[in-house]
Amino acid sequence: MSFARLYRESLTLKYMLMLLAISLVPLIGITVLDLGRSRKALREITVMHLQGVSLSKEAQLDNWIEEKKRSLREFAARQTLEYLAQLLATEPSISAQFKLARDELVEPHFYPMMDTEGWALELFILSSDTGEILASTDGDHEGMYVDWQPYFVEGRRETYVQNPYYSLLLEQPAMTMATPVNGLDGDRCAVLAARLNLNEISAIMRQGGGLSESEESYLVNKSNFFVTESRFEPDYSLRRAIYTEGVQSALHGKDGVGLYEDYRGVSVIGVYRWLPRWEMVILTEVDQVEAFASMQELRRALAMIGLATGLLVMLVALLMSRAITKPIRRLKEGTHQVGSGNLRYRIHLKRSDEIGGLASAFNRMAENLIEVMASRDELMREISERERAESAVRESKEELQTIYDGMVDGVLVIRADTRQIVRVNASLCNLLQLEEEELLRKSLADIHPAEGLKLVERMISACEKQGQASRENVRCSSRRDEQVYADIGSSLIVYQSHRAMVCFYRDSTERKLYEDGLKTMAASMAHEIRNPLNSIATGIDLISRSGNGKNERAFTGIREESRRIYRLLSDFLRFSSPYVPSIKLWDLNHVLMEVVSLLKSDKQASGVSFNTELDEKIGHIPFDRDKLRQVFWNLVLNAIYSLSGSGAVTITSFRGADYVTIVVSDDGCGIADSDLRRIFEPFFTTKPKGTGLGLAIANKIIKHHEGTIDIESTVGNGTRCVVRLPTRM
Amino acid sequence: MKQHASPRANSRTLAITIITASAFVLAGCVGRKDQPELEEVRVQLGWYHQAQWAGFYAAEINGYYKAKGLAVKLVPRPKPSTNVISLVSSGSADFGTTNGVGIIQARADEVAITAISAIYRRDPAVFMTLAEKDIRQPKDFPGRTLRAMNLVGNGAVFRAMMGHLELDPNSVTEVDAGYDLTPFFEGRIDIWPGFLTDEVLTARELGYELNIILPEYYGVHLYGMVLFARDDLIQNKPDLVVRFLAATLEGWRWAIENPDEAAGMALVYNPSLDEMHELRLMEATLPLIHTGEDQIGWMRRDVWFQTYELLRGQNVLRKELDIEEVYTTKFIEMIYGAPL
Repeated sequence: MSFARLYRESLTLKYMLMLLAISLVPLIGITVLDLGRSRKALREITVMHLQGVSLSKEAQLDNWIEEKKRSLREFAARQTLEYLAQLLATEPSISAQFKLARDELVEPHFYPMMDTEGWALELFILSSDTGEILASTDGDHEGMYVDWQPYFVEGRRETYVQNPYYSLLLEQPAMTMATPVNGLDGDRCAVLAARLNLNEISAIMRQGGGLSESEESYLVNKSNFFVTESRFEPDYSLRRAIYTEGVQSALHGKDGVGLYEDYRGVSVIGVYRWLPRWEMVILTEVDQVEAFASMQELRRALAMIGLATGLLVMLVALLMSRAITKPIRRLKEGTHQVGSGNLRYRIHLKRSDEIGGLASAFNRMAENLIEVMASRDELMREISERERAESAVRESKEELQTIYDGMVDGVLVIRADTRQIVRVNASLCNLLQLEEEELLRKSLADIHPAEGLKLVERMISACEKQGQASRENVRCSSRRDEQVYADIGSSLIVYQSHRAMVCFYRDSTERKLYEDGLKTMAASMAHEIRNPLNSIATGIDLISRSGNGKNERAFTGIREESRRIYRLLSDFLRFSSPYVPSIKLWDLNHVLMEVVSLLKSDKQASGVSFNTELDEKIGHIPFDRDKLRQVFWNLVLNAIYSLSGSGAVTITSFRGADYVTIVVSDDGCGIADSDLRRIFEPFFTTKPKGTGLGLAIANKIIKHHEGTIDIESTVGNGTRCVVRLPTRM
Repeated sequence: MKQHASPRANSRTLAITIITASAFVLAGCVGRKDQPELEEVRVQLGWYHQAQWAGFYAAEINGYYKAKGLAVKLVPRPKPSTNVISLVSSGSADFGTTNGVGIIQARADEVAITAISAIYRRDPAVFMTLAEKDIRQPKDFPGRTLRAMNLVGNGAVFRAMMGHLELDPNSVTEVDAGYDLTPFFEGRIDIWPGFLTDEVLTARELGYELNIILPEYYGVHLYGMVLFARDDLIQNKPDLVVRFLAATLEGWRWAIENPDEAAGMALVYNPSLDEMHELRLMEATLPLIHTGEDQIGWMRRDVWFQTYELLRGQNVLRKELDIEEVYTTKFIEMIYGAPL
C-alpha cells in the first residue's frame, strides 16, 4: 500500500503526522541554526590548527635545509678538503696524485660524513671550470659532466639548494645542494655537492601530524608535481602532477584556505601557501569528514533527541487517536458484518456521546433490516419455487415438443366451438405442402375437397360426442392438386382451456391408389368372367334338360359350381365397386324382420330358433335399405352357419340418444381369437363354401353410415355382433 | 584487384561511395548546427604508432582537439628513412616532431620551420653496453666496436660527446649493422646507440643487464622530441597553433596522470602492439617529458644554445644561426603564462 493511500485512509496517521509536525518543526529549526553556527566555529578552529601546522612545517623545512647548508659549508671549509679539492682540480685525472687525492677524499672524509650523520645519499666534488665530477661516493659518476645543472651553475658562487628534480641517471627523484670550495690559496677551485634524501623532507611533512587520522602536509613544485610523498599513495614524488584548487590557487600567488577535493577526490579543508624561497607550495589538509566529526556527534545527538521526541509524540498521538478510531473501527466492523449478512451483530459501546448515538442508530438499523430481510426471504422462496415449477413445465413441454416434431403423422388441432385450426405440425405441413402460417389461416374446407370434407366433418362431430373417431382414406387438398389421402384419427382434448379435437393424419395416398387400381382390375376381371359364366350355366341347363336324365349328376355338379362362382364374383364386384350410399329414412326394425323371415326358410336354419327383441322406439332412421339388409343378412346367416343345424339366434335392437344398437347373437361354436382378429379382412373365411367377403362388405357399409360394427366371441359359447348406427346424419 | 573490375563490383563500390558520402554530408549538416566546422590539422609523427605518442592520442580520444575546434589527423612516419621535416615544410602536414638537432640543421638549411614546444626535454638517444663488458663511460669506448650511425644525427652527438671528453672518435670502430640487436647481444658489437624508449627497453625486456651512457652527462644537451610548425602557419594562424598546442599539452598532462590508460590508447592506432611493452614504453617516456622542473613542454634557451654550439663545433651547419630564430616560447607562454 502506498504511503499516500495509507495517509488518505488512516485517521491515526493523519493525527500522528500533524502532532509530529507541530513538535518537530521548532526542534529542526533550532538544530539547523545551531548546526550552522557549530560548523562555522569548527571550521575556524580547524583552519587555525592547519595554519599552525603549515607554518610549523615551513619552519621545520627551513631549519632542515639551513642545517644541511650549514653542515655542507662547514664540511667544505675543512682544510684537508680544501687541500684535496685543489689537488683534484689541478692534477690531470690520469695522474697518480689525482687518484691518491680522490681516494684520500672519498674514503676518510666523504663516507664518514655521509654515513655517520646520515644526511646525504651521495657526496661528490666537481670541477668548478667544467662541471666534471672529480670524485664521488658513487665511483660510476666520476668523469661525468653536470655543467648544465643549476646546483653546479649556482653552487660555484654560493651555497645553493636545487629544487627536487627527476634524475634520468639515477632513475629516481633527486635533490642536490652545492657549495663552492676554495683552495688553500683562497681561490675557488671546486664545488662540493650533496645529494639529499628526499624522504627526509617527506618525513618532516609527515611527522607531528598525529593529532588526526587524515591530516596531511605535502609539497608541490611549480610544475604541479608532488615533491614529497603522499601519505596515502606510494611513489608520488616527482611522478604525479596535482591540480587541486589549493595547488592552483597557490601557484597563482593566492595563499589561503579552502574546502575542496584533494588529489584523491576526497573533500578536505586545506591551507595552502606559496613558499617563494623554495618555489614550492606547501599544503596542509584534513578530511572534512574528520574535521567535522564532532559535528557528526552533535548531529547524532540532535537526531536522537528528535527521534525520541518523535516517538513520544507518535505514542501520544496513537493513544489519543485510538480513543476516536477504536469505536469507529468497531462501527466499521459492524457495518462489514451486517453487510455480509450477519444481521444479529450488535455494537455495544458504553458511551453517551455522538459515537454512542451512532452505535445505537446502527443497532436499530440492523433490527429493521432483519424484518425487511424476513419478508424478502419469503418472497424469494416463492419465486424460486415458481421458477422450479416453470422449469419442470418447460422441460416436459420441450420433451413433448420434441416428440411432436418427430412424429411421422400429421397433427392438426381444431377448436370445437369455432372449428378454427389452432395448431399443426411439420409432418402435416409436408403432407399438405403448405407452410405452417398458411395452414393456420385456413379452414377445414380449404384442406379437404367436398368428398373428404363431409367425412372429416362427420368424424369431428362424432369425436366431439364420443371422445374419439377415425376415418380412412380421406381425400385432402394439396397445393398441387395431387391426389392426397389420409387415414385420420381424432381425439377430444382440452387445448388452451378450450375443447378441441386433435386429428392425426397418416398418409394413405399410396395405399388408396393401390387399392383403387387393384379394385378396378379385379372388378373388370370379375365382370369379364361372370358374364360368360352365366352363358355357360344357361348352356349347361339347356343341355341337361335335353339329356333325358343322363349324366344328371355331372350336370348338377357343373350347375352348382357355376352358381357358386357366379355368386362369388357378384360378392366380389359388390365389395370392390365404388360405393355411393343411397340414404333415406327407413324403419330399421322392419328391415330386420324382413331378413329374419327370409332366412327362417333357409334349409340350414331348419333346427334353429329365432328370437327378436326389437325396440319399438327406434322408428325411422337414415340408412341405405338395400345395403343394410345385406349387412344383417350376412350377420344372421353367419350366426345360422355357426350353429351347425341346432341352436338359437337372437336379434335385439334398442335406441340410445344418438345411436341405435343392433345385436345379433348366437350360441354356436364361437370363433377362435386368432380368427377373430382377421374377421373383417376380405377373403378371410372359415366356412367351406364362403367367399370371405361378407363381413368385409358389412364393415364397409357400416362405416359408410358412420356407424360401428364389433364382434365378440368365445369358442363354444357363441358370438355377439354389435352394430351401432347414428340416428342422425 | 584486377584492372577491370566486374560491373557488379563497380556498382557496389559506387553504392558504398554514395552511402559514405551521404553519411559525411549528413554528419556535416548535423555537426554544423551544433558547433562551427572543425579545422583540419595534420600532424606528422616522428615514428610509427606506439605509446611514445600517448599525449597526442589522449588529446584526440578524450576530445581535447575537438573541444578546440580541431580535427587532427595523426600520421605515422612512412618509413625510417622518410624526412619528417620536409613533409611538414612541403605542406603535407601542419605540425611535425623531430629532435633538437634536426630543427637546428633544418634552420641552417633555410627550411622555414620553428620549434614551438619540447615534448621530450631529455634526449632518449643513448649508448648502451652489456654490463658484463664493463663499459661505463665514453672514456671506456676507445678500442671498442660501435654500430655505425648516420653522420648528422646520432653521429654528430657521438662525435660531440667524444670531443667534449677529448677522446678520438676514430678510436672506436664503427661496424655497419641494421636494427637487429643480435650482434649486440652476442657481444660482436660492444656499443649500441639506441633509444631509452626502444632498444634499451627491448634489451631489458629480454633480461640483459645494461650500462647506459647518457650523452647529457658528457656535455651534449638537446631536446629529444620537439614539436614544430611551419613558419607561415605560425605567422598566419597563431590562434590555431595555440589551440593545437594547448590541446596537445592537455593530452600529455592526462597521459602522465593516467599512464596505464594512455599506453592502452596506442592499441587503438595499432592493434598489433603488445600492451605490456607499450606500458613499459610509457613508463620510460614519462621522465623524458616531465623532469620535475618546468611545466610540460617548456623550452630553455641554454639547452637550445648548447645544442647549437655542439653542431657548430662539429661543422655540420651550413650557416651561422641566431638561436632565437630556431624556437619560440610565445605559444607555451600564452598557455602557461610567463614563468614564475
